[in-house]
Amino acid sequence: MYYLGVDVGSVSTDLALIDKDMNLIDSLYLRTKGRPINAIQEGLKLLKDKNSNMEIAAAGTTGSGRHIASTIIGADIIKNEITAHAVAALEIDRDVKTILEIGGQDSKIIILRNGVVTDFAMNTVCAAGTGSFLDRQAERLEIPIEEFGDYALKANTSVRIAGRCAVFAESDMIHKQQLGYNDSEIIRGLCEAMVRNYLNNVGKGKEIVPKVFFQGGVAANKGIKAAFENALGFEVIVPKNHGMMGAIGAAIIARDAVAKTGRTKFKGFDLTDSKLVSTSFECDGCSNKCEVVRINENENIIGYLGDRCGKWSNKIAI
Amino acid sequence: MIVGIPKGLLYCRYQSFLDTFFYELGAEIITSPDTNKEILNAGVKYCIDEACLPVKIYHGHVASIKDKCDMIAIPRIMQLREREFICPKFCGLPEMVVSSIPDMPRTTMAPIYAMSKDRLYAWAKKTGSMVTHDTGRIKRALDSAIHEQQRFKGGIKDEGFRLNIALTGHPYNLYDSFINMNIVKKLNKLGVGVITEEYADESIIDDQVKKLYKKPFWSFARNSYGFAVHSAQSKAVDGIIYISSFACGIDSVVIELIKDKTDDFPFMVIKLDEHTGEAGLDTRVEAFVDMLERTR
Amino acid sequence: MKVTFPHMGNIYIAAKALMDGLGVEYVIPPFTNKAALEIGSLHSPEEICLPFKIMIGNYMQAIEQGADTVILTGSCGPCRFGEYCEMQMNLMKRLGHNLDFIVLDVPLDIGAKELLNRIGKVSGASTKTKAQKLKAAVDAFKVMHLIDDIEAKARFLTGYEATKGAFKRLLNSCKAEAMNCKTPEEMLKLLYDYRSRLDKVKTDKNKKPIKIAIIGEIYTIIEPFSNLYIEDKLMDYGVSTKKTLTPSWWYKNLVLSPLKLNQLEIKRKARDYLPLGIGGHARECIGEAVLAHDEGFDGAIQIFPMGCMPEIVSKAILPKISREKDFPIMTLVVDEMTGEAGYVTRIEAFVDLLERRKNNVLSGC
Repeated sequence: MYYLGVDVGSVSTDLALIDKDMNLIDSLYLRTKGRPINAIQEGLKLLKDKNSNMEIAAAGTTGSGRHIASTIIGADIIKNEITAHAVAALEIDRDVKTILEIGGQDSKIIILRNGVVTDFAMNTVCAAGTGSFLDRQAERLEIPIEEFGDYALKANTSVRIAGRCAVFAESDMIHKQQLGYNDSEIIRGLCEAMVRNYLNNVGKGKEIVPKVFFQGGVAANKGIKAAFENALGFEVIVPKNHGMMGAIGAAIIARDAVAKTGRTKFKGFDLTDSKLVSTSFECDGCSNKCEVVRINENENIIGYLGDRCGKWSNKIAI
Repeated sequence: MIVGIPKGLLYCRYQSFLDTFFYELGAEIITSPDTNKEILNAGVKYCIDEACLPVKIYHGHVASIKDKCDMIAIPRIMQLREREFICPKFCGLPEMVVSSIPDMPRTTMAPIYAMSKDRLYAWAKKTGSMVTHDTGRIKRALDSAIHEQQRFKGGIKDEGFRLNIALTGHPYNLYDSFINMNIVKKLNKLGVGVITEEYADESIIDDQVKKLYKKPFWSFARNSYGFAVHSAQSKAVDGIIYISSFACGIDSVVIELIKDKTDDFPFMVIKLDEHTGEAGLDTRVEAFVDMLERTR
Repeated sequence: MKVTFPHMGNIYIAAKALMDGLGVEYVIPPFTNKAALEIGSLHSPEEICLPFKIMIGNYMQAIEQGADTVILTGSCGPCRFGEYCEMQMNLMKRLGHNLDFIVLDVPLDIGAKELLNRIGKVSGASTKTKAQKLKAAVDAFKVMHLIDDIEAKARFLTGYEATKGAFKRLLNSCKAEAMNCKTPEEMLKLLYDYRSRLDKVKTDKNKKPIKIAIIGEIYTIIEPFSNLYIEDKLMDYGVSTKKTLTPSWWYKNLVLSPLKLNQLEIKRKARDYLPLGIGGHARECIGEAVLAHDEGFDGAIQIFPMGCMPEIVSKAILPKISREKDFPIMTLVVDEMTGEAGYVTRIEAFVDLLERRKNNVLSGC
């Protein structure tokens, strides 16, 4: 009996399989590439091939694509990624008080006390505090992103790179390169700038106390972890499955939901063979002109998304 | 009793008033240093992100002296003239600061309505009582403060330059050389003289403002608008530079109103925030001056 | 003369009643939609606040349907809204539209004579008698109150409904049918009817729903498009909501303010945190946050458009209230760039947070 969690983000689609003791049995990281349906289908297919004869007792979805993901796989719960991240972290350690999460396109902070989320914030404006900003700079410096952290740790001094906006930070970085700083110093400067922006923007006014978990794809970067520890003055813990926490959280919440309802809505792995197509149209029912997305599985319409009044989405009772 | 006076926002204009008032009350006065990197960093750290740069810097000024004094004078300026207002952030400044910076000493909270002496006295009585119970002394302190303020002229009027520009915007952006990265010196070096609104006649400003459909209700807007439009229409200068802080609500309106009335007259807006790079500012100022020279 | 006006929540329903009563030709702009925001953002100054941009979009879409006169309320609060009329007149002229603006400002600023003069421009286009005109105004006023009342009731009772979606369906059909009414009398009858129907919807009084107060800047609270339909979303989650700022509240506040009798309760509640009016509705925002806590609400959501001057002040103060009263408050800043995904995530996470607090006795200790 396994529990499935699917986290569909703008950059990546993660799938996690856990057993009843919360062990991570299998996980997958796929690029969403703007086609969430394909990514989900591909992910399920890979899971099925690797783990034959498995039975899914519950399935949950999270991430910005959680609704479309649920329509496709038949989820028992659809949960926002903040709650999913918090639940996954609490499963590891009930004492966690702060979660720093930096993903590909967004970053968040979650404050917990006594095992309950008491406050949170997300980045609102720009990409300068997210993983894709680092990716882009790695590309520009022609250094693989995986080695970024090692470079940062090598630097003895750092250089202050200004800019909350990715564009300005980039031009300031170029300026500093022209002044003759080496790659290590620049990268360390970038890591510190990102952490500074994060703490001044997302973390503004939040009481950050240990234990602190650092989650999300960017947590793999040792340079950022070190910069956080430097700025905060205490240890920051990166959980083993830091990149999968959203999906793991969704699986846990799904398990709890099915424990109440008794049976799962998960449609099974057969849907990897189905032809899934999404088409969009502008509803002309009123001047709100909602853009409605229709999802077809083979010949059947399995769901509508995006209408405000429920005229379309209520048609399909799942 | 040590009174701390932060050097941010309108201190540049009401320095004489504030210093004299507290000095005459018998308090020891400390002021924060001129704006510097540390003050900026502290301001960015404490103040909410949505606020404009000058308000953030003000928070930094407060933070730099809060542990060195018994009370802090945070002027809550509500109105300078009848039926005119100033930015809401001034009206709620003490609350903003007290809510955002931890471990604050006592702060002045009384509102300032500067339209008449009577109303100023209401402020003086409340504020002064935090320092002394001698009402006679408070009254005298207010008189001296008003007297000193009236002698204060302020503003810039350079003479003997080939090119001249009108420099406009909120006073704390014009007179804080850290915020504006020494723009006046930069202009002077490029051979450009600067004149500011303090040297424009009140009547000139009134004339321009009257032509609007609706009387602008911000005192700053009134001055900047009247001065800039008059400067352009009378061609008294070669160009106008408006120094604006990023996300300033008032500027977003005033700049539109000015643009609407000045047609093709050379007009440049410089936006400032904590991330403005000096290299970019230099480029723009130089290019603007080049353009003025060539169109001359 | 074909009159139009910018959208702001349910005002269009009252405006329809008024114009029908006066017999003046009018255009109700299409409900604010993405196209309106796009047109508005294209033509408006970049740094102006969101309501300005949406309103320009409303005008442009109304012009397509033949509107030639705009009715707009002015204001002298030190917030930018008061300068809209001047800027919008300039802007529309520059875009080549010959629109007549009728700006209803407070008499203190423009004089009572000028105000009557401006009102006369609208009522002059009506052929009705003076008594009929007065009746039209009274009816419109009643409509405004009724629809605000119905909406508030439906939004609050949602948390208690026995059948999910019952109140939302009733509210939506009420608004839709109101637009089909031919006369103000017909509309009033419909609204009275709906109000009594609300009482008959089955509720479960034993439920303990999450209750959230919506506070912040008045336009973004009232105009649903600008806040990405937050109240509808909360209804879907079975959350009871309350907002004090409505068009009828605004009107009452305006009438009472010269006597300083307006908002006594809210002013009193705000006293510890922001004792003075600083412009816009910042003090109301603070007062409502305290009030919501005292009334047993679970949390509050503050909404304002990017760069809104008064609400920036209240945003700085709200964390203090939240700390001292252990009362969760979330701020949502909206502008034309607001992405729905992140926005919805935050609302859902906030509701989760409140739910978990409620179920965890330890929280807050």
